[in-house]
Amino acid sequence: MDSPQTTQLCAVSGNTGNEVDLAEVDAIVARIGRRVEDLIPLLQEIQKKHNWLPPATLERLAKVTEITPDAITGVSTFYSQFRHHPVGKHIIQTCVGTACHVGGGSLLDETFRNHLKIKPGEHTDADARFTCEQVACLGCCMLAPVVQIDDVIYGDVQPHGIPKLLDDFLATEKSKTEQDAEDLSTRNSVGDVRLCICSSCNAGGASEVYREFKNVVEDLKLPVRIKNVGCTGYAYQAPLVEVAVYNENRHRYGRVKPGEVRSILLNHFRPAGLLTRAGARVYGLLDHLLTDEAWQPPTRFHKDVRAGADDRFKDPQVRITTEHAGHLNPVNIEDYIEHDGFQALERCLRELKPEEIIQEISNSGLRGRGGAGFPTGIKWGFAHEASGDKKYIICNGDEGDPGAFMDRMILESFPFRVLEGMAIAAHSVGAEEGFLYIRAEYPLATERINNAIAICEERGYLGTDILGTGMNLNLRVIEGAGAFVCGEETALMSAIEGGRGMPRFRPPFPAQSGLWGKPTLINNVETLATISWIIRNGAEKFSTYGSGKSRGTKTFALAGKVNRGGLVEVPMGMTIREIVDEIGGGIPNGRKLKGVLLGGPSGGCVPASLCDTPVDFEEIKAVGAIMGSGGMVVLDDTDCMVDIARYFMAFTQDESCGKCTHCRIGTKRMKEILDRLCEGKGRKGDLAKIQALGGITVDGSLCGLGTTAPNPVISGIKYFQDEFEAHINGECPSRKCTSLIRYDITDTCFGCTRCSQHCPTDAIPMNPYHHHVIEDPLCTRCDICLQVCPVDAIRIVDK
Amino acid sequence: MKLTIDNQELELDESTTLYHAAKQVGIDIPVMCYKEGHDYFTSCMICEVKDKTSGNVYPACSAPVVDGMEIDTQCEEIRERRKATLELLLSEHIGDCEAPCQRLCAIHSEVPRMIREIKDNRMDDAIATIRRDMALPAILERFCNAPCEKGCRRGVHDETVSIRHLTRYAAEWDLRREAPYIPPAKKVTGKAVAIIGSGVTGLATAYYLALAGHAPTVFEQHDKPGGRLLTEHDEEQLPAWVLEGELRVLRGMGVEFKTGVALGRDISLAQLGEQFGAVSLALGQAEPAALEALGLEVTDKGLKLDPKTRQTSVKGVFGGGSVVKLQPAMLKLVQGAKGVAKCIGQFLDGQPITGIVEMYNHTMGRLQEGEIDIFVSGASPIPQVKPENLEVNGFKEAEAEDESTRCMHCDCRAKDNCDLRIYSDAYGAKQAEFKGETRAKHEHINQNAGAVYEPGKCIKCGLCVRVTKDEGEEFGFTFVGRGFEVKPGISLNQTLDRGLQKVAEKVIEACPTGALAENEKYQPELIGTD
Repeated sequence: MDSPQTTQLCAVSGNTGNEVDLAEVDAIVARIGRRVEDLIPLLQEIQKKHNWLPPATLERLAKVTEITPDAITGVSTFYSQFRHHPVGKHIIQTCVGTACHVGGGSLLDETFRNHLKIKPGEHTDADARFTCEQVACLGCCMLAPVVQIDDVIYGDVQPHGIPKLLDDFLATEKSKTEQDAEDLSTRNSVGDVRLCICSSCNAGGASEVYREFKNVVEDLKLPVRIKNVGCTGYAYQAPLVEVAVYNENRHRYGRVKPGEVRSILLNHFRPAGLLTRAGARVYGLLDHLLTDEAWQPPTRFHKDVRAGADDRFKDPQVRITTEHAGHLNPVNIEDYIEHDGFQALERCLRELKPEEIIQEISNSGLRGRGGAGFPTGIKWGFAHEASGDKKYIICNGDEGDPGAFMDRMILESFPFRVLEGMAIAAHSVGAEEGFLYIRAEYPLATERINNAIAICEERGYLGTDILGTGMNLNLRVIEGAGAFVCGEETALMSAIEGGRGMPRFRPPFPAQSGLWGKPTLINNVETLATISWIIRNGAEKFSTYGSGKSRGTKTFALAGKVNRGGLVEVPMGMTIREIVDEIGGGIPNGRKLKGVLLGGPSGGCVPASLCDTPVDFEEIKAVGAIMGSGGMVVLDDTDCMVDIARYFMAFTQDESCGKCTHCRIGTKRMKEILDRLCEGKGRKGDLAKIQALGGITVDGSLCGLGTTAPNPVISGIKYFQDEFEAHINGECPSRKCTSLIRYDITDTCFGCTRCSQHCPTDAIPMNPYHHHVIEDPLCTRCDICLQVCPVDAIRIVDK
Repeated sequence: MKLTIDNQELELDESTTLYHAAKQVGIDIPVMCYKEGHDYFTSCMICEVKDKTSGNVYPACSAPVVDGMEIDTQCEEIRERRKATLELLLSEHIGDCEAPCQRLCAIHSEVPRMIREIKDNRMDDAIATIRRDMALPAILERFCNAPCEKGCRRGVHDETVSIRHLTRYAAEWDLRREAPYIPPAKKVTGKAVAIIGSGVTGLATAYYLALAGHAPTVFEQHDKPGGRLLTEHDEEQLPAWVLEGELRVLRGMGVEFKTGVALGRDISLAQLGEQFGAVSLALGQAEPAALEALGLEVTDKGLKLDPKTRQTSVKGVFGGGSVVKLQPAMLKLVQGAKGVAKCIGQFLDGQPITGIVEMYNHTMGRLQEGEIDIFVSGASPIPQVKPENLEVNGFKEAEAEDESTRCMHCDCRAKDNCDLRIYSDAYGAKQAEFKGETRAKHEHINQNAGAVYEPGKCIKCGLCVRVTKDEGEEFGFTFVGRGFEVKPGISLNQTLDRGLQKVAEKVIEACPTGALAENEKYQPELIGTD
C-alpha cells in the first residue's frame, strides 16, 4: 500500500483536463478515517473539494483505505448527491418537491436551461459557470417554488424572474448566509427583536434582515436584543420579525425586507443619545428622500398579537413538540434550560427506572411520527429487552417526503429537545452510542445538531457520566447523501454502516439485530422531540389530546395552494378541513379546494368531499391515504390529478433502490403509462393495467417505498376517475399537462411586446402595436408570457 | 417447532429458512437470486410462498420458519404471483433464447450450434446436433425452402449465412462415411407402431418415433421404400446414394420395412390395430372413397382428423402428410411427421395428446440502430461463400468452414439452463404482458475474460456481486447506480478481464440467466478490448 504521504498528480480520465492532487485525498482520509463506515463522509469531502468525484480520487481511496473497490463504486453510484461528471462553478438546484411542483417549479429547471442555453442532454452551460440539477425537496415547501444556488436559497421563484435572480446571485456571490452568531445583546435592553434564520426563512431573505438589524442596532446604539429564535412555523410570512418590548406588547412584521429594518426599530425604540437620535431622524429622512420608491410602512403585514381574534393561524394549534416556538433560541442551551430543558432527562436519570419510562411512554399512546405509527413504548420495550453487550440508538432525520419539512424545522429550531429525547430513549433501552441520520439537503440542521451535541457534552448532558449518574451516550451526526429509501430503517442502517441504502428482509428487526448486528432503536425526529414534554407533563396530559388510537399532537408541513403555509402542530383528531381553512386560511386566489395530499409519494389524495376526515392514523388510512410523516400539500381546482400521480410515480421510480423486481420494474411501467396519459397517448385498458401493476408492486416489494408507491395513483383513480379517462381521450380538464394544451393570445393584445421580450425560446415574434402570435412548435409552455402580460391577453386552451 | 409445507408435516429443532425447510421434505421452491453457500438477498421474489394460517406471503429464501405455519408453495395465488414476477423481469429482458434461425425453422433445428461445430471441425457433434431435430437431413436440405435463412440476422449486415448448405454439407459428409451416425433413442419403449407409406412423411414419422424409443414398422405397397422421392426427382436433384444413406440410418435406428404390402389389400386397419400400439397413415394423396373403404371418416376436404391430436376417427390411428392435405413443401411434411410422432408417443404413453409444445422463447425483436454492429463484431467479416454450381455439388470442406465463421451467435449461451426461461415456461409467463415503452440498448461485453457479459439479460439478483466478494476478487462486480437503471458492473470501472481474474467460472455458474456466460473460444475477435 502506498504511504498516505505520497503525493501523486494524476490526469483525470474524462474531459476535464484537470489535474487532481491526490495528496488532498490522503489528507481527507487522515482526517476522517479509513473504515467502511467512513466511506460516505469521505466521498462527501472529496466532492466538496472538486464538486464531483474524479475517478482518480476513488482509485486513491481504494488504495489508502480499508474500503474495497466494490463498496466505493457501489456506494458512490447509489446516492444521488454524488456526481461522476465534472460540473460548472455554481450548482443550480431546482426543487422538485411536491409543493414546488404544484407551484409550477417543474417549469423552472427548463427555464434555467433555456436561459443559460444549455444543450439538450447536458447540464452545464458553455462557460462551465452553472450546472442545473433537480433536487427532491429542499424542505422549504411554503415558499414554493424554491431554487438553491450553491448555498443560497431563493423562494417564490417565477420563471420570468430567473434572469434577475441569476444577476442577484452573481452580485451577492460573496455574501454568505448568516451563521449562528451570538445574539446581539446590549445592556439595559428594553426589548427583543426575534427572528428565525432557519433554512426556509433564509430562503425568504432572513439572513440579510438579521444582519441589517444588527447593523442598525449597533449604529443607533439601540437598547435592543436581537434574538435568533426557533421557527414560528409562520413560514408563509418569512422572514417574520417579532418585536417584543418588555412588559408591553408584541408586534409581528411579516416578509420584512432589509430596507424596512430601520423603520421598524425606530417605530418601537429610541436611540440612546440625543445626538444619535437626531442623527437617526435625519438619516431616516434622507433615506426616505433618496429612495425613489415611497417608503411603504411594513405594517401592511403588521400582526399585533393583542388582536387575538384575527390571529386564527395560532389558535387551534397545540404546541408540544414545537413548544416555545418563536421565542426559544435554538442554539442557546441556557435559553433551553430556562424553558424547562433537560428537566425530563434529569428526572429519568435520577428518579425513574427504564421500565418506568417505557411504561410512561406506552401510557401516553405516542406512536411513531415517521409515518407507520408503531407504538413508541412497545418499540422501546423490544429494544430494552433485547440482550446484547452493545446497543445503538438512531434518530431518523432522513425526511424524505418531498413535501414535508417538519423534521428539518424541529432539528433546526429545537436541537436540544431532540437530543434530550434521544438521551432519554438511550437510557431506557441501554444504548451508549447513537447516530442522527440527517438528510444531505439539510445542512443547517446538521450544523445546529453538531453544535448542540458539542455544547451538551461540555455541559454534561451527553458524553460520559451524564449529570454524574454514570450514564454514557456518545452521539454522532451522519449526513445522508441523497436517497429517499434511507428513511426505511434497514436501508438507513446500511447507509450508516457505509453501504448502499438497500432495505433487507425483516425479520430480524432492528431491535434484535440492527446496526452492525446489534440491537438498535430507531425513532423519528418528531417522536424523539415529543418525549421530554411527555415526561415533564405526564402521559395522561399528553393522551388527553387526540382521537381514537391516535393520541397527542402531530406536526404537519402545510403547503401548496393555501394562504398561510407553514409548520403547524395540531391535536390529533382535528379535521383536514379545519387545518386547511382555519390554520391555513383557505385557498388563495378564490380557487376551490380540490383535495389534500397526505403522506407524499406513499400516501394519497383526500378529495375535498372527504376533507372532514380527522387526522388520525386509522381514519386517514380508511380513505386511501396515509398519515405519513406529516406532509400536507393542498391542491386547488387548477391542479391535475394525473399530473400529480405521475409526479409521485416519477419520484418513487427515481428513488427506488432497484432491489426488488416489483418495485424496480413495476414503478417504471406505471410511470410509463402515466407519462403517456399526460401526453395524450393513453390507450384503452391503461387504467386497468396500472391497477394490476399497482397490486403486483404492493405485493412483491420488501420495504415501504415499494408497498406504498402505487397509493397516489390508485387513490387518484379511485376519486378522480373522470380526469384519468379524460386524459385517455386526450384532454386535461385542469389544463396542466403541457402536451395537451397550448398558449394562445386573445384580441385583448395591444402589441406591447412584453411577451415577446420575455419568451426564452423566441416563440413570439416581436410585432409592436400589433396582435402577437405564439408559434406553437417553439413554445415550451413555460408560462412566462402569461405571467408578464399586462392585460391578461394570454390564455391556455386545449390543444 | 412444527409446521406443514404443502401438507407435509415437518418438525425442526432450530430455525431455518422456509426454502431450506421445504428442501428437507423434498420440495423445491424456485429461486433465482439465492444460491446455496452465499447470503440471501431477497430481490427476485420468485420464491414467494403462502402461509395459510396468516394469509401472509413470504420470500422463502429469507423468511424463517415460524411454529404453526401452514405453507403452500404451489397454490393458484402463488403461481399467479410468480407468473407476474417473471413477466416483470421479461419486460426488461433483452435477447433471444433461441436464435431467429432456429425459431423460424419449422422443425426447430439448432442451427447456431451446428454451425459452431462445423467451424470447430467437430463434425460428429454437428451431425448429432442436426439429427436431434431433423429427419432425413441429406434429402431435406436439397429441397428445403430454408425459412431459417430468412430470419438470419447476418442478412441485416451483408448476406445471410448459407444455413441450408451448411446443414446439407454436414449431412452428406456423414452419409459418405462407412458408418454414418446413428442417433441414440431417448428412452427405449419398444412400443410397436405401424406406418403406412414410405414417402417423406412415412420415413420422417418412422425417424422421430425411433428417436423417441418406439419400434416403427414401415409398410410400403411397392417393392422399394421412398414413395414420391423415387419418382419425382432426377439423379442430379436427389442422387440414389443420398436416399440409400438415409434409409441406412433409419434401419440402424431399428426401423423395419415391409415392402409389397398394401393397406386394404394385404392387411386391414383392424389387423394392424391388433399387432401395433398405434398406426400412422402416411399414404400420400388418397381418394376419399378409398379412405372410407378403410373404415375412416372423411370430410369434404379429405381424411377427418383432429387437428390437435392428429388422430383419425379410429382410435390409435393417426394421419400425417399429403393424406391430410397436399403439402408440396418438403419441410412442411417433415414438420408434420414430427408432430404426428409426438402425438403417437403421447398416445402410447397414455399422456394427454398435445403435440409439440414449444418452450418459452424470448425474442429481441427488431434491432435498434448500431446493435447489428455488436453482433457482427463477434463474427468473421468475410462475404457469403458462393462457389459455382453450389446446388449440384454442395459446399466443399474449406468452403463450409469459411461460411461457418460468418455466424453471429444470436442464440443465448444459457438457453438450455436459464432459470428465467425455465420458470417462464413452467408458469406460462408472457413476454409482452408488461411491455415497456422502449427497449434498452443491447450490450455485449467480451473482454477476453473467460466470460461474456450481456447486461440486458441481467435480473439484478446480485449473485455475481456476492460471489466475487465472497471469493475475494480484487475488483469484482458491484451494483452500479440504483433503481430501474441499476446494473452490475466492475468496480472502479475496470475491465471485465480485471474484474474476473479468479472466479469467472463460479460467477457464470451462479448467474441464473444468460447475462454472464462462458466466453467460447470461437469468438474470432475480441470486442472492446482494454
